[in-house]
Amino acid sequence: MGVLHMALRHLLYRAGRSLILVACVGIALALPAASRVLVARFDAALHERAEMAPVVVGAKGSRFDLVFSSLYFRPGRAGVMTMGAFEKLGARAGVEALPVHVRFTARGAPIVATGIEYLQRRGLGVDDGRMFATMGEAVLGAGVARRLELEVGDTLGSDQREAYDLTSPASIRMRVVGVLAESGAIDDDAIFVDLQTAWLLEGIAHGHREAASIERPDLLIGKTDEYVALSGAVLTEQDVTTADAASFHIHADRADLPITAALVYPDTEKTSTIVRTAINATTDLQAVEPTRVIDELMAFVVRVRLVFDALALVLGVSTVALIGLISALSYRVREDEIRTLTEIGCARFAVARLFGYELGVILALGAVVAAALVWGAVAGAQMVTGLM
Amino acid sequence: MESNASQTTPVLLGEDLRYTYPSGGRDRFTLELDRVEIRAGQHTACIGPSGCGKSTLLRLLTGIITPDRGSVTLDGRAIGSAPASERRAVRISRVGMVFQQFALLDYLSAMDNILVPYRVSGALRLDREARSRARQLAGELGIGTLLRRRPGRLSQGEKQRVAVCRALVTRPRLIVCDEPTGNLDPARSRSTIGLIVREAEASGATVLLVTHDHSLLDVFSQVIDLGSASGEDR
Repeated sequence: MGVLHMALRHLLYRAGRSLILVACVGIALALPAASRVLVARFDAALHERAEMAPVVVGAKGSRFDLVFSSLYFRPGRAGVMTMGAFEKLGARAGVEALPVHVRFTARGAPIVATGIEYLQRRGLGVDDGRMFATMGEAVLGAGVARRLELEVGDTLGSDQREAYDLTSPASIRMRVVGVLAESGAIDDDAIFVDLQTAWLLEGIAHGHREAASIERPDLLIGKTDEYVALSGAVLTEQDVTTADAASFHIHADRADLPITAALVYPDTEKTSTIVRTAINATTDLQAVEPTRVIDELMAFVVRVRLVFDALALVLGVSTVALIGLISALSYRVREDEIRTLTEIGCARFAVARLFGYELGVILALGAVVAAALVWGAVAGAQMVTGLM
Repeated sequence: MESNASQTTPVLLGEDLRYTYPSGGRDRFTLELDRVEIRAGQHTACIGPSGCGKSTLLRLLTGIITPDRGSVTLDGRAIGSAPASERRAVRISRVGMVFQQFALLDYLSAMDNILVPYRVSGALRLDREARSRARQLAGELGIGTLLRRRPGRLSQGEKQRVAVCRALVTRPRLIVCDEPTGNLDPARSRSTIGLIVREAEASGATVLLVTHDHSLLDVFSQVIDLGSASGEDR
């Protein structure tokens, strides 16, 4: 304890030098550790989610976009398939299929249009309120509700996809009817609605309002007992209220309505193979196994990590050289101190212990700094990606 | 400085000493001395011209280096040919040292500097009594209120007192001083030597001092003149 006390005092006395060394050690340790931890956590998180659906079917195109859109709720990348194709898929023997539509967001959170079956299969129950039942009703993931400070009874407007495109579908105001219990998965950061709401967002469905019920002076030009004259102003927002919900309808054949993917649950491996083979033989659809897609992605990520490891090695070597140089210079500067300790009769290894403790404390503090940096990197990555 | 030295056993005894510097240079220096004897209370000064081997003699007599020939007995223990670990243990527990520039550790407080011998050796136990003695010595030497200060915030005189406290704190039998007044003016040199001798006597220790200042010799009961390689009782 005596020599350790002296070592700590010396480190405090040379606080600037000590902090630089601690920072160097911390960064040198953090870089490889962070890359390994992040890759491992990403790998685990991506695979856990990928195992949710054995097969995903969607429009031909990037398999990565299809998987990330349908399982990780990254809107706006995947193409669309029709409800007709989905129903044909679901009609196959030994296959259960769930529709997913992920193309829109509300205040940055993905709007996931699907059926109640998806939530049941994921074991997601409401913590407050109820499940969505009709067009315009939304159930929020726990994370979204917390981040947007929304609760049952509030309304939530969808994000305008093309702010300067007047022909694009208008923003829709949805009613929050439920908040899901925390699941610890990416579902916490999604807004769940039924498919009709998605088609409303697509501009395929719409409702009518009785002209006589409009009272806004900026829209109402004239009104008598026999006629109502309204402004030609473009309304940029639509409300689906309980009162007018019944007036909403779809102007399309159901078989032509779009979804972005079908999550497919074959009853056997053989059925899975048959479905994938059949789907991939078509010209407009593809069937992928999410776990294989993630394996492929992670193989690339691991190659990138190797580059980080090489950089970390260079950094580590330079840090060791820096510590060695500073230690050698320190030893030289402290020759008088060493001579004094030796001459008063210090224990045989007291001087070595003094330097060893100083190095040990710097390495230990560097490891703590590295741990903090890794923790920060993981938290930051979690915040940015929503995964892990 | 009267003493009854002749009636007591030697604190330090060196006989038939020979030491040659292992430099291998063209001016190889050899120190030879037939006998050095310091009895309890027999404060001794070692004088001589520069380069005559005063500091080397101190290092031989305290076991920092070992003689090529001869024997050294410190407080009844033969250390001339003892293993290094034994010589260190004897030195730290029975010898207090005051160096020329005081050799305080600049990163430690005055209190920690005084307690350094306890911190660097397993032969001494840093307990409440040791801390209490350090505070008591510091109080007696007028630096009791400065114990939290580092050497950089102490005057030369205050540093000197800290160094004396460090030399005395282990209750050594012998206080060895290597030109502690080298940089001081005559008046301050005399007061410093007086302080060391007074405190050593209060602690029951004997002083062995190397100096080139002949005006200080009246303080000592024995003088070893390495210029003529002789010992003289006063």
